Amino acid sequence: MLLVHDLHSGYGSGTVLHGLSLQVRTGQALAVLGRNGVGKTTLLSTLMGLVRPRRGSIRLDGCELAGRRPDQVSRAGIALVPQGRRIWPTVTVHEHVRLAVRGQSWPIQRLYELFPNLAHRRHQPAGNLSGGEQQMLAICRALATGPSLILLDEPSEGLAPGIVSHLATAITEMVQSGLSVVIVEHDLRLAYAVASDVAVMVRGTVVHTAAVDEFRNDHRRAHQLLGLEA
Amino acid sequence: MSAVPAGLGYARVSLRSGALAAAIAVTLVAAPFYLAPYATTTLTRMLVFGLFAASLDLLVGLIGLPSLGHAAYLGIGAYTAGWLALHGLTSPLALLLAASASALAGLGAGWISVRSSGIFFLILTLAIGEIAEQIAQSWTAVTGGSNGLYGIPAATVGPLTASDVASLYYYVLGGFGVGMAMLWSVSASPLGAALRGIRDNKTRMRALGYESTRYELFAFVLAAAVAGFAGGLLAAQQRLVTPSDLGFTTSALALFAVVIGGSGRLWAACLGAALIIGVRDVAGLTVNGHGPLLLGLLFIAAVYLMPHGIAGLPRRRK
Repeated sequence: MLLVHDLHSGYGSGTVLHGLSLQVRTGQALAVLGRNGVGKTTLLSTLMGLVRPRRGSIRLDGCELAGRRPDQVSRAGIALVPQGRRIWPTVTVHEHVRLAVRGQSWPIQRLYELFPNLAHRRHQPAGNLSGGEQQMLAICRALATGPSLILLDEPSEGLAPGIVSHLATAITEMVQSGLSVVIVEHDLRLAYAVASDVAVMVRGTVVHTAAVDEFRNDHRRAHQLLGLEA
Repeated sequence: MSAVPAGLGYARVSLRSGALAAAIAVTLVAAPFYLAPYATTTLTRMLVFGLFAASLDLLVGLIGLPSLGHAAYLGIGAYTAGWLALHGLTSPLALLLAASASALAGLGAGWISVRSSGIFFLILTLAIGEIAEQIAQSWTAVTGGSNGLYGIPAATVGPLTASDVASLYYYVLGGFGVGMAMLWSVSASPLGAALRGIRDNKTRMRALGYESTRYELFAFVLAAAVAGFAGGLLAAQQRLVTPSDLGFTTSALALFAVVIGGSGRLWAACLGAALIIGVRDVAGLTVNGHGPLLLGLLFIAAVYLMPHGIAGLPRRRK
């Protein structure tokens, strides 16, 4: 279980997260929603240890992670799939996975079963993959580290609708296997398809949490928080 | 540092490249039989400098840390092996001790340096190299001061003495093979892949659980150890070690060898080193000893005509 309490974080002299708190249960998929610039990516970067928090607590299964280095956070069980994928274009699919694989929870064979397209293209440089396959590879690489919580930052960015539905299937399978997921996503269809709960951020803090079904039917609140038309 | 070979470098030796490597090995082993003594001596110098340049390429090409003071570890190895030989240890054990001394120095210098990056890393390595040269100049009781260590006895392997041109060549060739095998085994292993991953995207590798500083320090120490091993070969080859062996010019020439050969490929650094020795020591003699001038012109031409070095030429022609 992830417990975040009173998290303050930012860059330089600017503060982006202002006392954010949230909770993700084991096996839960939480969609973090919000308009541009509210601090969603900063939240994920801070959880991963890429941005050092100024105050607050990040506890994963009882272990305090606030202020830890990214490699320590990774070994504690959090993995990040960054916005823009950040794959190595000249490196083959298999090398990506082999470089990341750790522990026994997600052996390479299991990863290729979840992403059969990658298995077929394992010897190809990642730069030759389609956008959807590159996103699958970024997720595959993160899973290979054997996390208990995976952070997905805009996984549908730049993908065709057909590919997004494949992505939703893969994420749902990950959740069903017991993995906790935090997904930051602008495509609400994907967010609603994979998450059981939503947390809405405004100006660096979570202002509303609800079950997905409750939130998607509450048009007035969605409009108020996200600017969506009813 | 974006001019990288495809892939992170796990061992994938094709039949063609294996055959080429075997042909080069045979050519090198047979060299004393078809080369004149002076040419064999030049080739011996090329092998020593080639191994040194390849050790620098481990830093520059594999993990993206361009050092301006790498000759410090060549020199420490050379002084160690030279001093040991003067005190009776002429066996290959002296090479291992030379490598160990340089590794130890690399551990201290690397611990300071790898926490910095960019221009700060360059300046720190340059400063450490200059300090090493000053110590070599002033610690006369051990290093011989500006005169250096001279009269170093020939290296020995069991009952054999590497005193003539051919036997010395084989001694250096053997050492070159051992050093290159060590570099290649690291480069082609998952560890080498991790080093390349850190070079290309340190943040991503840290997020995958790699503590990048530890890997950078490992690469720094290994590069220093192999440079020290090459330094041991240098002492055996020159029978003389002077402060200039660990000076900035030597570091700069090694970096030049890596750039002109093409960073990220160990064999290319050796090729660049051979070219430099050839231009400086052979072609330079034909223009009234203006080898350094030729080297300068070569460097300018290489930067404009071969931005990815010699190793990048086949890719460019495609």
